[in-house]
Amino acid sequence: MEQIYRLEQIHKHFGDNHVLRGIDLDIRRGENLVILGGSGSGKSVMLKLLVGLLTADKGKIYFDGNDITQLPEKGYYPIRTRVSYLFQGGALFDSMNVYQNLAYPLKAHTDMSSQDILAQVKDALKKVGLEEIEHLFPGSLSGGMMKRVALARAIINQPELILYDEPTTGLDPLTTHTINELIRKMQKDLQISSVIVTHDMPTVYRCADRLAFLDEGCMVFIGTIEQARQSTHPKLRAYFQGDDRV
Amino acid sequence: MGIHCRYRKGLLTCRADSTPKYVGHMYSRIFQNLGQIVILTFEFAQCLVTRRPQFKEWMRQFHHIGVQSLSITNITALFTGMVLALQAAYALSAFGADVFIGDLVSLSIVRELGPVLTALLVGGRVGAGITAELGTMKATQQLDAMRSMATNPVYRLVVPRLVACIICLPLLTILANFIGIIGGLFIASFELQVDGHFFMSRVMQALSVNDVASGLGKTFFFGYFIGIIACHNGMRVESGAEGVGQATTQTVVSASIVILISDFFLTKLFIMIT
Ligand SMILES: Nc1ncnc2c1ncn2[C@@H]1O[C@H](COP(=O)(O)OP(=O)(O)OP(=O)(O)O)[C@@H](O)[C@H]1O
Ligand SMILES: [Mg+2]
Repeated sequence: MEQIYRLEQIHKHFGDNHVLRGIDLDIRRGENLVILGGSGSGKSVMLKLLVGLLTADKGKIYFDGNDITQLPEKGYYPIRTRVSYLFQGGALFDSMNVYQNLAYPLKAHTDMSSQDILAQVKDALKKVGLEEIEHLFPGSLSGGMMKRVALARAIINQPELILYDEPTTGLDPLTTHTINELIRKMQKDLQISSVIVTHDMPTVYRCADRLAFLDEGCMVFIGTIEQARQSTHPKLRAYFQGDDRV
Repeated sequence: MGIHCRYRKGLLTCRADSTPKYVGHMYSRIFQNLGQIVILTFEFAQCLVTRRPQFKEWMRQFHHIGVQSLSITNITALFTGMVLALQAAYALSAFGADVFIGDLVSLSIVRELGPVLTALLVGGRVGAGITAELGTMKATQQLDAMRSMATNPVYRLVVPRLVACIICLPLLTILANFIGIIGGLFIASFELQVDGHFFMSRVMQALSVNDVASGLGKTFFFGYFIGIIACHNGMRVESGAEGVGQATTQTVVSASIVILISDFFLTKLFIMIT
């Protein structure tokens, strides 16, 4: 399968905190890659490196075969219009209402009419199971609703790849199910690939084509779910063991 | 002295820098900030020249920064004018020079107190507001979200705010000057029994175009300083509420000091060129 991203020996420090210690990873077109890993293991940092919100200290990142490790800010713009990022905390603009939040990427990069934008916004909200909340501000939404609005904002401009930082954390099982189905559906119907950072096993089972496990800054496992089940790595086993007991 | 404490594995260790190291550190931080401010200014100018203005957002900022500052700047100007008239009468009567109350009040206000007090008040009110807003956006990753959608936070956030600061401050100052003189007139005629017409004729005689221009000229710079310091401090907030609080305090302190110091040099410059 064709690669979208290739990471080679990526290192990232913050002061003396050595967060990523030599990551090698492929992200392939058309597949859903799930990244597991303990809290603080550097998952969010890794996603940010992919779109240039942070830059790696060492190693190389290739996007579509081009080296994008150290670009000026503007150099990342073409990538960022093709790759969406769902932030762990949602990162909705709290001075804008839900409609304005969702319309933001559309207004910035297309010249759609306001009617078309409104239709797109309603459509995106419906996909994540929300309706009639266009006029509300993020401050008056529940945590789960915020997460879903942020998700709607990430999918609204139909990118090639979506980076999800914990898309289902804190959501009820039914909504989680809706979101998992949505991720799968977008992959099938629109060929949108996904990188999903999660701790949710249902999401892993439903969405993952491949699984990567990040531990103490290293990728200790990359493979299919079946291979992950067979893995002898104690921390990775813990994810699946808990499941077997049920 | 700089004291660094760190808590690790249940142990709190504190270490004090030696004075030279601390001073060195302080200067390097100042230069680093100056460099970042210069870069931000270039980015601002670039966005202003090359990109379509977002007039709607500009208007919103004019309202926040200009209109909503009217009450505090006007009240301050009014009472400053009033107290100046009192003080002038007290000082000048010793020499039997009460007739110059109008001169003293108008010159002090138009050349110095109108611009500087307005700038200090706006620096406190607006500067703190901008830093808190941008700082919160930074801490909650809204700035990163803007960047991740291939949009430029400088164009979206800094340009409208800085433009509003640079344009609103002179306008607020014009009004403050006017109201300050009215305050002086009020006290002169009701407290000090100076004829109102006489007071105003003294004001008109005392003030030259130069006085007004040198007073207002400074305010464009003050507006720029307030806006750029506030935006810079907001956008470099690292962590949550505490970081936002510190940055906000820093803005008010830095803006005030920069206004007062630059006031001296700008005044000197204007005196030299006229
Ligand atoms: N901007 C930053 N400055 C300094 N340190 C950072 C920064 N971002 C992340 N870190 C550090 O990097 C490490 C990894 O953080 P990261 O957010 O990637 O964790 P994570 O794997 O996403 O965890 P979680 O599952 O809790 O979200 C943490 O120790 C964190 O303190
Ligand atoms: Mg994270």
